[in-house]
Amino acid sequence: MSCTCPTHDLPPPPPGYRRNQKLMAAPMRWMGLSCRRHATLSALRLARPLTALETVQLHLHGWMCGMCRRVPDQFDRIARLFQAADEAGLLGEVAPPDPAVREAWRARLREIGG
Amino acid sequence: MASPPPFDIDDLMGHADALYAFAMTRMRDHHHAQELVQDTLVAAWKKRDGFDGRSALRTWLIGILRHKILDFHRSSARTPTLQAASRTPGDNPDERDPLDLLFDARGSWKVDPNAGLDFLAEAPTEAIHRSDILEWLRHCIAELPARWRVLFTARELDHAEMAEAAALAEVKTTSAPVLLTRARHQLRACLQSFGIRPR
Repeated sequence: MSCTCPTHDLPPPPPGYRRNQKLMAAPMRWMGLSCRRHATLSALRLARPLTALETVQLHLHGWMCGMCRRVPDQFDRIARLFQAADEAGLLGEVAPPDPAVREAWRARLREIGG
Repeated sequence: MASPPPFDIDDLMGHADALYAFAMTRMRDHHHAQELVQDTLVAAWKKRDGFDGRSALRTWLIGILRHKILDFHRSSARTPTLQAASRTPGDNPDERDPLDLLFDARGSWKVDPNAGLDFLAEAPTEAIHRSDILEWLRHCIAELPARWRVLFTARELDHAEMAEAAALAEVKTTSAPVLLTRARHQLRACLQSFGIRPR
């Protein structure tokens, strides 16, 4: 990832989750119900409709795993956050254009007149 | 008697910085962003009598700019934001699947997926006016690999059809959902990192 968001900054999951995964990760993965699969489907459902099997996998895992339950909602909220910032014209870079560029724009508008 | 124009040059220029910021979200080359903003201002000025005031002036201007950006990307001869990117998925080290860093080989979380995301509970229209959150959003979207960013902005922000978004990003329509999914995971991890350790 190029993002300057190193995941080593992120805390590990709680011990209870890790203990549970020692037992359950392999069979869950075999059934297509791993946490990774759930996270993938949580985001994928925003890109295309899920198949019936994928929908079952998503909801079944969300029902069983408290750690993952909020992940689909997190993706929804993140999307809404970006949309709101974009619609307000706030998402771009902070640095405004060079004053000379702004002046050129203004001059062009005056040139057209009105 | 002719009605007065709905806005003047100063009104238009009052939105110029926001338009430029909007354009810069979608293209890294600031020269092209400047060119598109100028085109937008000129088009708005020429069509000012057609502005009926039903929407805010900025909303109207952003609508014009949004179309100009899509037209720009559609022009196959002019895709400067993507020229440096690999055309083959997986070849570009920037486009590695972020899930590989978040999950172990068994498919279990290596990180707590719920830490640092409490700010998502705030209403989006209020959260975007928090300078820290706005800075995180700007940073995280700017850090996306070029093709992912074009895909995400076209699909999520400009509401383009998947086939069109894929064409803009120069990826196959069939692989676009996967790349979008990776983009969403990278954005999520980036925001989470900021949420845990604001800087």
